Amino acid sequence: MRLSTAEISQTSISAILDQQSQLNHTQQQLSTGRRIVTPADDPAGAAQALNLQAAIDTNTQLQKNGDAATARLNLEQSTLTQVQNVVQRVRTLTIEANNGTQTNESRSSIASELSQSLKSLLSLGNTRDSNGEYIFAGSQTTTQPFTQTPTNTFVYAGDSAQRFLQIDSSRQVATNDPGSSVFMQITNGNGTFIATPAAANTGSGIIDPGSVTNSSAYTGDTYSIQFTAANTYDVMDTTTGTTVLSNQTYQSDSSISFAGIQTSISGTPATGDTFTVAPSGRQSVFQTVQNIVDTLNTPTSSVASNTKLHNSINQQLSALDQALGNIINKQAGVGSRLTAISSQQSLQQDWGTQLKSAQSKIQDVDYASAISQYQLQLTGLEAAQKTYTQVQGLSLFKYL
Amino acid sequence: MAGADILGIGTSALLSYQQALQTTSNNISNANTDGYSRQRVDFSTQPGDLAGSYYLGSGVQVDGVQRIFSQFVNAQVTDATATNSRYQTYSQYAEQVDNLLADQTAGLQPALQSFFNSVQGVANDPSSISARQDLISQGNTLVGRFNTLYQQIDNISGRLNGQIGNDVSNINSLASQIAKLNTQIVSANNSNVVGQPNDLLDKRDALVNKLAQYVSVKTVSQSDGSINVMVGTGQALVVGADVTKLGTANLSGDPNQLDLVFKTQAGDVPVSNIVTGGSLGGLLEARDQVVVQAKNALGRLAIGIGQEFNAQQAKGIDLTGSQGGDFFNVPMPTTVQNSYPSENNASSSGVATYSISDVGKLTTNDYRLSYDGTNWSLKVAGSGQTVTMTPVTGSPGSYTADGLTINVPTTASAGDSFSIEPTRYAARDITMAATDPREIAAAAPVVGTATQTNTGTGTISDMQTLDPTNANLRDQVTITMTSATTFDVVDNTTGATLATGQAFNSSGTTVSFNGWQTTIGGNAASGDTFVIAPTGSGDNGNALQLAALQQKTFLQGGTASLGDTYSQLVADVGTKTQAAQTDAKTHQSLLNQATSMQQSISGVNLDEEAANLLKYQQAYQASAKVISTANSLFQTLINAVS
Repeated sequence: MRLSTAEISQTSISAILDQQSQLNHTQQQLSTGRRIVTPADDPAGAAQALNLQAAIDTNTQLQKNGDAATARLNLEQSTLTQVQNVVQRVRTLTIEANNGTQTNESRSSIASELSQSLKSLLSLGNTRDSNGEYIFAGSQTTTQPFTQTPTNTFVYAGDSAQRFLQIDSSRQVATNDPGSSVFMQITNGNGTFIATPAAANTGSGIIDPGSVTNSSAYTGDTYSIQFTAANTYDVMDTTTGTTVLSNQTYQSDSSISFAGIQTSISGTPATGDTFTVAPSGRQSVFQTVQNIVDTLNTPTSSVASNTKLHNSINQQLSALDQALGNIINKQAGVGSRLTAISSQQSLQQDWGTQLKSAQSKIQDVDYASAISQYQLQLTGLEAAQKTYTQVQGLSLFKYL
Repeated sequence: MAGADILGIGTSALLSYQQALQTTSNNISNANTDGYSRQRVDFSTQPGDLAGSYYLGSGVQVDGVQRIFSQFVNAQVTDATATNSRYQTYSQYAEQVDNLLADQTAGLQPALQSFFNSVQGVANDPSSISARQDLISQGNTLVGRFNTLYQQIDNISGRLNGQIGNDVSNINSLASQIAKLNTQIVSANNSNVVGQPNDLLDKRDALVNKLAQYVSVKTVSQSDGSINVMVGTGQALVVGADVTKLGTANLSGDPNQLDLVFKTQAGDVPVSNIVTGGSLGGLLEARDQVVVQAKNALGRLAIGIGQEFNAQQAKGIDLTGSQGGDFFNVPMPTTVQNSYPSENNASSSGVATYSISDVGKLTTNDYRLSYDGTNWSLKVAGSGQTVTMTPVTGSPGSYTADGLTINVPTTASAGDSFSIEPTRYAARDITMAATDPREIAAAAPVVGTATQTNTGTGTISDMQTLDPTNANLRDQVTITMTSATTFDVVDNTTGATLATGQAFNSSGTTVSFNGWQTTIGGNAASGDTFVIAPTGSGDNGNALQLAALQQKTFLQGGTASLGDTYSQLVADVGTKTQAAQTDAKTHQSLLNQATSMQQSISGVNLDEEAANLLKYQQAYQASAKVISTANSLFQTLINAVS
């Protein structure tokens, strides 16, 4: 084909310019480390990289949520451990105070130590986190949840809300337990029923907290064990007004069983003494400790008042055990949530690594191929430049 | 006699080769002139002399100087120029928008992500002022990013509109020059000249090629040597010596959307939709397919997040204990009264108004609402596709279409029309409404809990706010199981019994009173209670719902989330850009091929000219020798006679 001189020159220049721009693109890829220098290089890839970036950021945020949840749960866990220690100490002291060798004075000194424990418990219940929020107040985090009234009752001012944090796109985890469920609504007695001696008892009968031996026979009614003579007793169902057992022979420490309930009475009850077995009520751990303090501060002077002391302490000890069990349950709950978060986080870390590697595959340059391409393009440019000067040197006019 | 003839032949050759050498020199000197077609001298023999019974040749003569060119190949170059210029321009503008949207740091996606991360931050720590402050400032960043992106796209469309104006004036000036050359060529042809005015023709061809850079043109040659130049579907730009000028006008009523018109004697004729090719065609396409689409898509996102976030915000309780107020100011759409010249709306026609009633159905289209005297119709601007308008029962003059509720004016007259651009300016106009960190409604109004003393294992879950304005929303309500299968509901705050003997289903029963809705289920025992109570400042129920908006698919008919919708925009613009770049490359090489074919016919090759120079020089020298021979023949004769 016939070529025009201007065309020959133009073609060579275009080739050089083209090579230069390709070389520049490869050079940019190498210097930025990115295959996609501008989105138009690979629009689908760029959009995908953008989506992956969003997924990576979301993943990071979910891990941060996990960290926040862990921090809150760790604080609750350590607070609960301290509560457990205090309650344990209260229990030890109470058992000690229940010992028959204690005097009014020694009991009252134990009571003053227990008062201090009560204060610690209250302050643990009113624990605040680093933001000054009460951790056991439900959603009323700016209101102090637990207060002691002048009449020594205990009031909960929080609510029963739980704060959930998003630790996965479809999974939320509770990061607190409302104080009502930790400290307040604890069943007294043995958790099902409570055995109480009548205040007017004159004998030395001490009733055991007892247990449910046959839950299908247990009705939830209130029963009364009435001593018709020093060694004879009747059992009445006061809810229905019927007699369950009558004229039973009493023997100290031997079991008394009726309606799925088993208990025992020790000591010597007097004629006319009664013991009530009623379904458990709710009592706060603070109230339990306060009751112990009150009991220990009441001096004893007679068999009857001594018996009353031991009966009362036995009852509060059962309540303490319930409280302890409740706290251990809560601790187990917190622990399982912490484990769940930690396994979720390690999953997320793996997922994050996968996302990053997927993103890298899409947007990062493959150095080996980019460098070889760079070499190739460099050679091409050099060749184009060299041939340009040679071709331009060719002219018939040179020979004229 | 013979001597004189030889002298004559020699002279004719001498003169002819002189002209040939002149033409060759002209070719050499114009080797690098754009649009120059090489010229060639056509020789022919002079009519022979009758010498008795035979003819004797009497020398050479120049018939004419021709430019070597092909009409067909030239037309190919013109076409390729227009197409190439169109794609180069289109890809250049699409690339700008693409780089803006898909930037990993400056696009919308990172701002959206940071914003929702901050919402999570508030959910993690709802009563922390610093977490709330962070959300407010991330909200400002997001709104700022919308505004900036709009502004930058608007700058692109500003440059685009500016270039449309430039192109139009360049086209007009080129058309005038072509018309002037037409006049000169016609007068050169008229004056009994055999040859063509080669340089004028070259010049005119070059101007047509230049014109093709701006707009696709067709030329039709006339018998008098002039050409007519058409654009679009045959609209005449140049007819002989007459030029119809192109102009810009604001026909849609939107000042940012210039239209092209032909300024004819009868008035402006709109040609935006029929002018194609060249940089002007590329500009119009880039504007309609990329720039406007990007603005509308961003606008839809701004309206989407604004309305949805505000709605969820209203369902929560802020730190001061009141119902959540607006977080964003979502811009109200405006109607532009159409100023289309041939159907000017009467001044008494009033204005159609509309509002966005369902953000999920919103599209990125612009619309034209028109009235024919009896019926209203709605069409998508550009494609002209009809959109069904559903009348709103009970309110005459109201229609719903594509997520919009349109109220037409009652005073309209036939021929009125209105431009509706629901999403166009939303990204520009969205602003922050909340300034005080306490205004963020992180808490749900109420929380439901199963009472701990319950003997059954019934659960209460999935508390939602249905009517945030209900006066009793935050009342304390107790749900009491009256048996294992029935329950009563009592509002403890007002003391009112809301329901009795409701059926309970252990697999989940929806309970809805006082503007909230929750689900109770599980094995609830008789006497168990569930309490719905107002929350405190530490609650994050609504913040979790706000955070969930990031993944919620509420756009495009409930099929796409905010992020999906933005990715679609990026992918869409990216795909268009890539296609345009590929087209630009293809058409560049097609143009190169056409140019090289044209050059192979018309271009000057210096080696060829060097050879011609030698050839004609030798012929000239030989002719001179003929004269000298004739002279010596004559001398010989004189000497013999004398």
